[in-house]
Amino acid sequence: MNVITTKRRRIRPDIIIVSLLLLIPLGVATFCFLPRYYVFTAPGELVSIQDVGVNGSVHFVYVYEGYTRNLYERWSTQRSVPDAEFVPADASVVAEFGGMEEIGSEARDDTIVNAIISAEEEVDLDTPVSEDEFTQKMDALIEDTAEYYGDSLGLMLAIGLVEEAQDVDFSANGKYTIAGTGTIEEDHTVGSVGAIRDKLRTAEQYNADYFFVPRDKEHFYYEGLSNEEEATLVAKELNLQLEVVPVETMEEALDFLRDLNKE
Amino acid sequence: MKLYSEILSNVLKILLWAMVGLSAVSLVTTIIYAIDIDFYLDYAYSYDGFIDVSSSVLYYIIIVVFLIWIFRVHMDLKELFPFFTRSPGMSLACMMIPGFNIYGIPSTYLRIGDQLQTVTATNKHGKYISTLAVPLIIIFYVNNIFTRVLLKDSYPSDTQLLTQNSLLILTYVIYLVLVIQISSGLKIVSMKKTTIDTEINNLPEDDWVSNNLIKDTTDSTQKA
Repeated sequence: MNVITTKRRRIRPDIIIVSLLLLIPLGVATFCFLPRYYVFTAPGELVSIQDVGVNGSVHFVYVYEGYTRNLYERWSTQRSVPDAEFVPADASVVAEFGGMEEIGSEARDDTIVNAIISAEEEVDLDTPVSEDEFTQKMDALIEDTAEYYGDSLGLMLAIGLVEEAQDVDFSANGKYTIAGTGTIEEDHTVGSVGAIRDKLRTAEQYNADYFFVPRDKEHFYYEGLSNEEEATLVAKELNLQLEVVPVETMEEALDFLRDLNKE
Repeated sequence: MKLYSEILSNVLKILLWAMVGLSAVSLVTTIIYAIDIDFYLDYAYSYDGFIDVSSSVLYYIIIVVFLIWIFRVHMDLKELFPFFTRSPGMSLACMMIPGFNIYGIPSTYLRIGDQLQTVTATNKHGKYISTLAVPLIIIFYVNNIFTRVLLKDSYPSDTQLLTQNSLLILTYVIYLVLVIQISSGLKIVSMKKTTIDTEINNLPEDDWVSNNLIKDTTDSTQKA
């Protein structure tokens, strides 16, 4: 009689324990890398107009904006930018931000051109600037502002250029810290921008005394609150010490600063 | 004799090997970061993040397994060497009480090492363990302080990151070597004990002289 013996292979308990234990970190890591999009904004820095090669005393503000694709990226962003505020988003933010960077660079170059022209028209020089000088100045500014994207530095750049051309110091030798945001258009009007809340938070952190925002309540074409309304609301909500100054044109901002220096 | 720590020794060895592997890959990604940050962001950032999360979770799992293991190792030591001076509970205290563990961690390994050196077959293991006890605590604390400093720095330098990664690998390798040496040392002693016990049990009951002679030899081996 043939006896067939089958040997059952026993799985070692340590292998089972290790497999189960290793599943925990793998599971957590996989969860952290599942697609989950967030858009974030955070206060940035107050930048002196002198940092972009203009001999003025005013400042512009930049803020951090971006997106994260999963919980790990959100966590590491939060670590490097602790003040960042996150809002859930969807996968379309990747394409949106890709396009924004390109558009932002173009908009920045346009506002630089407008700022130079507006300042020249305000100063009304006896000898007009030659085309070569204009191009040289424009190229230099584009190069010096390359690390920022967006056109929100336009107004402050124009004010700085006026200070430089007229050899004036609106800060009264450092007595006032003047900052602001807003684009500058060909007709010297100040255009709406984004991230007003974080820009105000940044200016407050850097002890700004006056902060220019676009006076755009009457002609705000986008959804939500205008820059002017949002700034007033944020200043009240956060009990900011700085004074929000809404302006419609560059001339309005210059008049405010001249009056300030007369006091 | 079946060791209390046998299964956990194997578990801990595999987990530590996994940790050493993850840390080695992390070191490679840090080197890539130091050489070419753009290449790192394009190709290595996600892997580095995945390893970072996995190893953080694995680290805490290893701590828990390690504490249970060291407790069981001391249960084995008490069984194999009845006069072994440190109790399982005390060994846990030595590992866990902050400040006291500066003395506790190296003294635990020194005692285990010294004990294993008393048996000829595990003399080499004992020497290894005793030699690694002091470097372990130095690297353990240097690594801890370095990591705390690094966490406070938002933009640590390449050198800082590479040093921290290297220290981390070194710490895990030392722990791995210790676990390997202790578990195999205990295994040898327990096998020896089992062999002797079997021989004693197989002796004819009326052979009084041989019985007592072997018992004496066994005792002297353990106490030597």
